[in-house]
Amino acid sequence: MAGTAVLGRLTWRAADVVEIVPETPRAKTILFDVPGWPGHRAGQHVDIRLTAEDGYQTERSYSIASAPDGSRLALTVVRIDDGEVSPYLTDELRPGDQIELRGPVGGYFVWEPAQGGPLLLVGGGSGVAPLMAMIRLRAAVGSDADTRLLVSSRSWDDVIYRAELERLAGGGLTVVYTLTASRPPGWAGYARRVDAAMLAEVGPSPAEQPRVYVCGPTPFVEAVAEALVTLGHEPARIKTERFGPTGD
Amino acid sequence: MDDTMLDGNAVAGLLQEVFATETTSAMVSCDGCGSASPMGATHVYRGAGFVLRCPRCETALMTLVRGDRRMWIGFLGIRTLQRLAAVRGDALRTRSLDDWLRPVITC
Repeated sequence: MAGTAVLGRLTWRAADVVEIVPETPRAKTILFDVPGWPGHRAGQHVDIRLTAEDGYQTERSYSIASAPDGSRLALTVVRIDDGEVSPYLTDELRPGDQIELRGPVGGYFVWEPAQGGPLLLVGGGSGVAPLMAMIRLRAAVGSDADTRLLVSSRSWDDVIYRAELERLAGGGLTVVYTLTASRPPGWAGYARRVDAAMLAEVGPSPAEQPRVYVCGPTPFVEAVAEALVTLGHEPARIKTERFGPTGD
Repeated sequence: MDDTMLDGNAVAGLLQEVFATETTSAMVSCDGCGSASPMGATHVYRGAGFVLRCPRCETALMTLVRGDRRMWIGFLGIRTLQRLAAVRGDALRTRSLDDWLRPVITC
């Protein structure tokens, strides 16, 4: 039933680690099997709870990167060197391990295939994760909605899901990168922070009334949202999701 | 701008603990300036707990502080909280929320 993923109390569930896939030198995707998972919508996230031997507990929120797929879900975690949670998830966790999670949570930053396009998705760093759930869902249902994905990364090696995005591009999906800190030799793409001129070139134009989703670190989201409004995009069509250092 | 600021999406789980339903897509109207915003778009600051502030005027709307086996919930500046009744079919609900949201948020 459609409502079960949205309504009702949250319960902590045991999630089994099925597979761990390195994405970049600092990011890994962890594939979980979650018995009883009620399903999720593209853009939702989960809360993860870790409990130490002395009973100390800490929670973090991670976007779901996978399209709905039964009891399976994928989270992409970037290692923060002095973080409390991410080094454990990226370095210590092994297939067969169990962790506690609850969800799906959220309902504001979501896209449904029935909403169609055009879509403008703007991701900074690992902010591409919930946008990837939308792109994977779009592919899974065979949608041809006009979709522009603009990814801002520090370097080419830091781009998450690069190979898969290359495969999925075309058929209405355009993927554009900007590399802010270093570029591979011969790089002909964007080489600066996302700004209004870049957003105007990547399009769609405000006149086409795209649904816009922006996810990334807080300063990134603020700058992109402001540039979008300057270009004339309607604020109500711009949905944002920020993560900060406290989000680990 | 405060780089540590988050938004209402970050407390989606806590809000669902409080209200027992998805709340980031609900519209909250601010007692300070009267504007309405989706709960997911509120500005969220983290300290001993969380403070949710109006994205237009930064009035403190709500506080969430978790202690040992309890949670304190402060409703400081919420005039109304409005959510649509659940409609069978997620797409239908989302579409109607957007249609309804436009005239409210541009005021």
